[in-house]
Amino acid sequence: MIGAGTAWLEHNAPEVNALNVFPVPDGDTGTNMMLTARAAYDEVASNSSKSASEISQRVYRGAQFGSRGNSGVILSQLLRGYASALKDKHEFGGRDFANALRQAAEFAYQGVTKPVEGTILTVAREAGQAVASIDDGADVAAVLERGLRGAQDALARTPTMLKVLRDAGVVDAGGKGYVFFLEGMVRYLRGEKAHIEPGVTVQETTAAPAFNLDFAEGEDELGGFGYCTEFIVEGRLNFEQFRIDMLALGNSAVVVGDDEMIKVHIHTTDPGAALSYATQRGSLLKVKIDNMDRQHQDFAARKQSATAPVAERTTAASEALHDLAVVVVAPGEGFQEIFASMGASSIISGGQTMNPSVQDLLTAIESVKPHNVIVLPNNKNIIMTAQQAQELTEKSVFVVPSKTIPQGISAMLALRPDGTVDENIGAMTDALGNVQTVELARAVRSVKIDELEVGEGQTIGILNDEVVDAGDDVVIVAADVLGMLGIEDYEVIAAYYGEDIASDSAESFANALADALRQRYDMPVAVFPANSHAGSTPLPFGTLRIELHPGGQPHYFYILSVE
Amino acid sequence: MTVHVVADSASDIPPVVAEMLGIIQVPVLVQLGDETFRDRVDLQPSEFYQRVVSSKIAPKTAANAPGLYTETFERLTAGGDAVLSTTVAASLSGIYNSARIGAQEFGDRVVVVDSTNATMGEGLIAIQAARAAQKGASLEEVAALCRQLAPKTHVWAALNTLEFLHRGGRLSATQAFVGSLLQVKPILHVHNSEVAVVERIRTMRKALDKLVELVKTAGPAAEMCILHAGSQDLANEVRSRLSDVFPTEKMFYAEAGPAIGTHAGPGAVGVAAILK
Repeated sequence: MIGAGTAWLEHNAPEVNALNVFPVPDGDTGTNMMLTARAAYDEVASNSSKSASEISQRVYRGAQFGSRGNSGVILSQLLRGYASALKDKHEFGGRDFANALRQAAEFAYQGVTKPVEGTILTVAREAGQAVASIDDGADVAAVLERGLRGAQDALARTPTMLKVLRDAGVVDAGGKGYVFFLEGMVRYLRGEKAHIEPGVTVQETTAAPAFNLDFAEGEDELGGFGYCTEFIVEGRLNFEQFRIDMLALGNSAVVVGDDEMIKVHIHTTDPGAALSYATQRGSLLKVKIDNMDRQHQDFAARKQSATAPVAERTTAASEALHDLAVVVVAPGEGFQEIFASMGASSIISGGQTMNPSVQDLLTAIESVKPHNVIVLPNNKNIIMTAQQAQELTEKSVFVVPSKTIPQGISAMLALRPDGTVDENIGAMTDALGNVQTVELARAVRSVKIDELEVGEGQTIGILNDEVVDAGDDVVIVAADVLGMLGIEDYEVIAAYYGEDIASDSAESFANALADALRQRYDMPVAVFPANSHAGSTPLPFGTLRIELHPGGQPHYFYILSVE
Repeated sequence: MTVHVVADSASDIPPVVAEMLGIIQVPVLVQLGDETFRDRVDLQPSEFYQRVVSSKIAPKTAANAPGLYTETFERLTAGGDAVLSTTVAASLSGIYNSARIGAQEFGDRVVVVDSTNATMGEGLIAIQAARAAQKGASLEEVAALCRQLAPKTHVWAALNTLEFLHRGGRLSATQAFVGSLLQVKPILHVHNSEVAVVERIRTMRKALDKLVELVKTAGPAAEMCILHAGSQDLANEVRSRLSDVFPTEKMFYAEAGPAIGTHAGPGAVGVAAILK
């Protein structure tokens, strides 16, 4: 039984891992529980003892020493409950196993310092409660099935008990792991997969990505997504036949229950067929059908809107700010994404030549939920517009006068979700001075500025909004301007390349600039192409780091932020 | 009755110091790809950082089994001695819980105290506990000392990257706020069971300035330790900048081991202190 529970848990570990409330694809609850269960099973796998007492003690001992992670430790405590209930019993019946399920929950609760409902604890407790009033003559399989049903019901309700689960749209991972463990034992007693050995990959069609976070982007076996269909049917049923027939009607089928009640979750292109099959055999309770194609389209549409010119973004980052929103003006998709990733609530396309109107700014300010709004114009020609919008709204608006995009990014970095509005305004205003901005663009006509002769078509170098250099080679102009700045005293150059620059030519530019700076100033320089994890490799102190990012701005070849 | 002090390997107590004071460090499990290592037993810090940087494998940590604690406590209490076991903050790891379960069968001969901190934040508390135990303090006195020091203990750290901390899930959703498209050097503050990003800074130079400023404005320290994750040069820099507020000969120096390194990432530098 333990072997079967372990094997089923192991088979489904990736699904449990996927139930991670953090937006990172590497949850390890399933792995931790599976390794714990395997350690428990290994204690008895090679043992010939027939005594329930001895076996359950060994299982617990295996888990006690082999458990890992929080969920693994709790699983070991559940097994400790089994061991405690079966102590001194050579054989056990339904009554004893009901006891085991109950004691398992008790030990699990004792196993944590602050029990939280909506977790594996709730699932274990309700599994125990479900079998509290079992008949004396009930066999182990019946008890276990009833316990499993209690566990499944509790699992389904975990998101109503814990906000983190609700927000992430998942059920509790540890709870799900325990359900799989119980389900594996049920399957064993029912004679399905009588001898699966843990560690052996099981080929099965019933893997259930019911709560798979990646579901919207993966799973295309039906040629489309079909309908996610769930229902419960009651009556005098033949569970085994029902299950087999359901499997034929679609995929990702999960069919659980007994000859009286069956719960079905299936992905199918024809939910009608599944439902009429069921109504011919019993009465339907609770039917739920979701159009997964539509869900997928919605998902795709949401992704699309993330790059629309003016869109309120409810990113996790912007939601972290409760009573404060930041409205940003930025040209180019690259910059818009960067601002969104740092917590901007609304991003208005504009800057450089295409300046937004007062109305554009006003609309953005009015469209964000919070009353307090900070505006980052990111261009000296938009500061006034922003200030006008400020006067036309009832909202409390503060313009942090960022003249360049790098200044705006620097201000954004100073933003703190737990700070007050005033603190944030202060910190963001102070941060404007943290960066130097170098812009490189093509001269559209010949001109003489002070002593500087600029020819049409040449590259001009702009340092903090003043044209300071011109030349035929963009690398040399960049190196000249950086030299005027005293680049030896700086640590990072973020080079944002414009919409007309291909990523490989941006990379050549960065490498050539690095060479020029090494030669001229005899300093160590490292280049990190766009989207590389520039930070994961520590650099020797004093190394100048050039990071490339797609800015997507029109007109300007490169905007360099020097820090 | 002797009181033995047990810590976990996430305390980062330098091996020499641990040996001198008789502190036992129970290893945390660290996973690199398919391989599981016992922190500082099967995997030393230098090898860990080298592998993380060169292979791009995302390391993970896992709390140890209660059984390992049971074994350790059994051995230490065999002659009738007592054990004080400190752990990394219970809010950050299941280790506290494993130790607590492991201690269940020893009654009042083993006391487990949540350090509410991590790395040498836990380490400094364990060191003070061991010093008190050497001077003959009772188990109750040592436990009381630990509980009294915990709220005065702080760790500040400048990370080279947020990537590892983000992946390890030790930050709240609010804190995950820190921009992910641009490289930032987050400054962390670990205190009273919480890990918070207090600043996001673009350059290591400014990050060091901020780190030193935070330590200096926190108030006079009774104990201090400079920490680094495979970044000795940064640690030296921080040490010299703090020499005017704390005597360098009394400072501890510790390298964050694989368990802490899994979450801090290579290239981090920090300061742990117990304030007066």
